Amino acid sequence: MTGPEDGTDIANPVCYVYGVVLAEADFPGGLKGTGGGEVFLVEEGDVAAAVSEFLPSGPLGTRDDLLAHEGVVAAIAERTTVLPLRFGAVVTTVEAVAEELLAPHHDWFVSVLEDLKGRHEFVVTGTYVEETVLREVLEEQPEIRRLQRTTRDLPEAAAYYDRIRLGELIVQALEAKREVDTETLVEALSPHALAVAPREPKDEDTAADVAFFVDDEVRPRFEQEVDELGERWDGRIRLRLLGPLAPYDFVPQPPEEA
Amino acid sequence: MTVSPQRGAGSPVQRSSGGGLADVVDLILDKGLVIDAFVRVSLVGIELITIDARIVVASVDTYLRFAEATNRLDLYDKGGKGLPDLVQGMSGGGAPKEVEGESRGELDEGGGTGALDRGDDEAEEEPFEEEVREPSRRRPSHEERER
Repeated sequence: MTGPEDGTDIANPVCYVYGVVLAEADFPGGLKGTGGGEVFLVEEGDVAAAVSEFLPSGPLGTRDDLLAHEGVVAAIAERTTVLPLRFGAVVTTVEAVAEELLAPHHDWFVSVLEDLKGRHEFVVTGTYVEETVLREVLEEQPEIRRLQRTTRDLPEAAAYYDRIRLGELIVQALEAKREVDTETLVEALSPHALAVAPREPKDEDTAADVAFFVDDEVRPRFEQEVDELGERWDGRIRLRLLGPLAPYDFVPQPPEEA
Repeated sequence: MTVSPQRGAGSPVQRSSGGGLADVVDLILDKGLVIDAFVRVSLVGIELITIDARIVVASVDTYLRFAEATNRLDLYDKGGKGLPDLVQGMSGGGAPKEVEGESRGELDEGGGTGALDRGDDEAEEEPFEEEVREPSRRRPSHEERER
């Protein structure tokens, strides 16, 4: 067991912060947080922070810690507007949360939360169906076809550098496809979104990975568009729609320190 | 944390909402407000074991994997292997040979967002398991693996 790095007495519970909501928010009860404590609200004026207490007993970041954090934010986001904090936000006491987090930034939190009201983040990811897309690449690029033919009947060691070259060309071809397909996705969906945030592709199989900030009222049309694209790409790109989520990709810049 | 086909059952789009999903892990680690921007004095510096979910970068191993994949595709054309074999083969192809689970984890992580035919039910837990194996490579934790 290791205590917090700053040597805080580990006998005292500390305060884990999940996010900030409006004090009037419809807040779900009975949530278990990171470290197992019950999640409750610390209020300050018109805003409140969702927190839970726990006894620090080592590093944070186990599967359970992450799941708990995610679960709490997701449950809150389902009911109300929440400004999510990044994983691992820990403050000494409940009083400090009110005095240092909420009070000095009270008006900023209120205005930001009002802006985010009735809006959610959705993440659309596309994954290539490898077989389909590799066939496309082979059809489209004579050089890749040629290399594939020269390498396939040779022993692995003999064609080592050709195989690397072949794979490299394929990866480049997939990058070009990703660019085109991401663009197609963004063009189709951005008319129904307030903001768009492309994300780093997770790997070569990724066809697109884009976050959209969507007004609740427009959500049905947005989802319909995702479905239509999914049908169009069926067998080539598997689309996945994540959300509604807290606006992780659309949190505003923190205010300048007063 | 529900994974459900909410609209027209015919839609090929897989839907999931909320927490408990691998896809959201990178959100909570990289996105959201940073507490340090707001709280300075009463901050508790707790060590974080962070997971870098985006480990796969273009590398020789990756190139070889794709080269291998096209050759398997060729076998498939001849009727030698079905797609499951193709997929199976790719998970081993080109990856470091030390541990089988490792290379598999890498491929699946690659397809992390439900790449290989995966039922809705599984999608809730499975991808998460696989990504969490990444850190356990560095910090072995049997507890995590066994779950």
